[in-house]
Amino acid sequence: MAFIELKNATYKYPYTKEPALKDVSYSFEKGKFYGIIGENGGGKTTLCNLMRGLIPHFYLGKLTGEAIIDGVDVREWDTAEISAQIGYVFQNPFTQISGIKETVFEEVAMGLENLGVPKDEILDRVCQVCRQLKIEDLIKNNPNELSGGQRQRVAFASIIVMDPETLIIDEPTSQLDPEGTEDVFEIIHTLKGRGKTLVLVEHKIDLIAEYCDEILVMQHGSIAASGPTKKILSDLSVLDKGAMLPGAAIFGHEMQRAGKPLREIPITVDEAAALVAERGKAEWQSRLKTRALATPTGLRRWRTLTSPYSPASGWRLWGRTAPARPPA
Amino acid sequence: MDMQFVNSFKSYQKVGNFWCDLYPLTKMIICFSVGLSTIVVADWRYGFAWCLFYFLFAALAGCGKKFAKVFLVLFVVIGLFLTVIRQIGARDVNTTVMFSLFGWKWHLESFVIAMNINSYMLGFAGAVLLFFNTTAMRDIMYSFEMLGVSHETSFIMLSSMQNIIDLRKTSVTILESQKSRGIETDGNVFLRIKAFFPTIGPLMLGAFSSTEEKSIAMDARAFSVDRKHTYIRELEPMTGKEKLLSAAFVVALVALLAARILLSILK
Ligand SMILES: Nc1ncnc2c1ncn2[C@@H]1O[C@H](COP(=O)(O)OP(=O)(O)O)[C@@H](O)[C@H]1O
Ligand SMILES: [Mg+2]
Repeated sequence: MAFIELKNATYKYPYTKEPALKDVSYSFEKGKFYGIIGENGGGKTTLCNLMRGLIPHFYLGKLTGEAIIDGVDVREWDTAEISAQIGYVFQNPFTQISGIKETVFEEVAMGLENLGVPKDEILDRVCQVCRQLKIEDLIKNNPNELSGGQRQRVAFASIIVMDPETLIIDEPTSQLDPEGTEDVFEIIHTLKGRGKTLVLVEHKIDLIAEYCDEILVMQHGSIAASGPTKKILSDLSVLDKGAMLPGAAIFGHEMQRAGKPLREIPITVDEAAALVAERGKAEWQSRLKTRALATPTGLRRWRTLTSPYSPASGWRLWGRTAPARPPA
Repeated sequence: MDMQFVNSFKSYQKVGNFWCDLYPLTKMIICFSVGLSTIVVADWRYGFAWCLFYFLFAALAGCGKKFAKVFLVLFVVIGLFLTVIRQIGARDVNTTVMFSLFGWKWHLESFVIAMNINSYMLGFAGAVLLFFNTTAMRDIMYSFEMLGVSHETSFIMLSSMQNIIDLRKTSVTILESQKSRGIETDGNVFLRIKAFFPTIGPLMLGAFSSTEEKSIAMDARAFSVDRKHTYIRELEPMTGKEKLLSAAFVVALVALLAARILLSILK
C-alpha cells in the first residue's frame, strides 16, 4: 500500500512567482528506500517538506493537487501527530540544535522526553544511538559549541533515537568526511533492514546506487525521471537531467564504447566486478573451446569438463569420478 | 561511553554544595525575603551586613569571583551616584559638616541617608544577583515547569538566553568580516558605532530566518506533541527541611514588616 501518495501536487512558496513543485505525482510505499537526487534548487527539499506536512502547515503559499499521508490528506493532519510518525532530519545542521540543553546527551534525549518515554528507556536508547553514530566522546560537550560535522551527527542521532516508522533525511552528510558518511549510510541501511520507510536526499551518488530501491530525479520542480535504482542510474540520459551517474555505470558505458560491452550496465562496484569477471570467464571459455576442439582427446576432455554428470557414471569432475547415487 | 555521566541522570542532580543544592524555589524565597527585608529595614548596618553575607554565600557556592565582579560594579555605580546626589539635595537636614571638597561641604546627615538607601538598593540587587549566580536558568525553568508553567514558555525563556549568546557571537563574526573587507571597526566610540550599524541588518535577518527553521526543527523533535513529558534531569523536590527554612524566612520578613509599620504608627 502507498504510504505517501502525491497526485499532481503543485506548490508555490509565498511571494515567489515560479512554483517550487510542479505537478508532482508519485507513490511511496512502506518499507522501501527512496533516493532523491538532482541539481541544487531542483525542489528536493521542498518535496521533503511536503511529504512531512510542513507544506502547507508551516510554509504557507499555494498548494494544489493532493498529498496523502497514510490515507489522510496532508491538510487534515495534525502537525504534532505527523512529527511523531515521520522523522525529519533537516539539511541545515546549525538550526537543528535546540539551544536549551547543556550536553549532547540531553540534546539527543530531548525528543524522547517530549514523547514521555520512561527515563530508563531514554538513557538506554540514547546510549545506543550515540554509540552507533560514534558520538560517545561528545556526550558531555555543549551542543552549541560543536563543529558542523559533529552537529550533523548529533542532529541525525536526535531524530533516529525517536525511532519513527518513516524517516525523511535531507542531505545528512554534507558536512561529513568520507568516514562519517559511511557511518551514516550504515545506520540508514540497518534502519532499512528493520523495515523502515526511508526517503533520502543525497548527492553522493555511488552510495545512493548501493542502497536505494527507487530513485527520483528532481529538476526545475518536477520529477525528471523515476523508477528502480538500476534502471535510472544505468541510463546516460540522467546526466541531462542534472544528476550524476555512479562511477560503475560510467565504467560500464566506457566498456561499451570501447567495444567490450558487459552483459549489462553495472551501478555498483561489486556489480561491475562481477560483470567483468563474467565477461572474462566467457572469453576464456570460448578460447579454450576453440583450442580443445582441435584434437579428439581434447574434444572428449572438453565434454568431460563441461558436462560433469552422466547418469551412468555419476559425477566426473576434472578427471575424477564420484559414483552415482545407487538406485533406491 | 562515560557511564558515570549517564548514570548520573538516574538520581537527583546534586553538585555537593549545601546552598547550590537547595531547590531553586527555596533559594528564590530566601533571596527575595532577605532582599525585601533590607528595603523594609532600610538601615545601612542591616543592609550592608547582608551584603557581606552574599559574598560569603557566593564564595561558598564557588562563584565568588563572578558575583564580586558584578556586585562591585553595582556598588561603585549605584553607591557613588546616590551618595553624590544626596549631597546635592536635601539641604534642610544638613547640619554636621564631615569635610569640604574644594569648597563643597559634605554633610553627615545626607551621607547617612544615602548609605541607608544604598544599603537596600544593593541589598535587594545583591540578593537577586546571588540567586541568579547560584541557580542555573534551566533549573529555575524546571522548577517553574513543575509548578505548571508550560513547556513552550520555558523553551522560549531558555532559548532567548541562548539567542543572546549566539547573537553576540554572530555580531563578532560580522564585524570581523567587515574588518577584513577594509571597513574601520576599531578606534573611538563613534567609529565603533558607525561600524556597528551595517551589522544590524544581517544580524536580524539571520536571527529571524534561523528562528523559523529552528521552530520547525523543534517540531521534528516532537516538541508540540501533547503528552506528559519525561525529565531525564531531575532536581530533588523541596524537602521538609527546605519548606521549613523557606517558611522561616517569609515569617521573619512579615514580622519585620509588621514591626516597621507598628513603629511608624507609634512615632
Ligand atoms: N522558504 C522558501 N521560500 C521561498 N522560496 C524557496 C524557499 N525554499 C526554497 N525556495 C525555492 O524553491 C526552489 C526549490 O528549492 P529547494 O527545494 O530548496 O531545492 P533543493 O533542495 O533541491 O536544492 C528554489 O528555487 C528555491 O529558491
Ligand atoms: Mg535542499
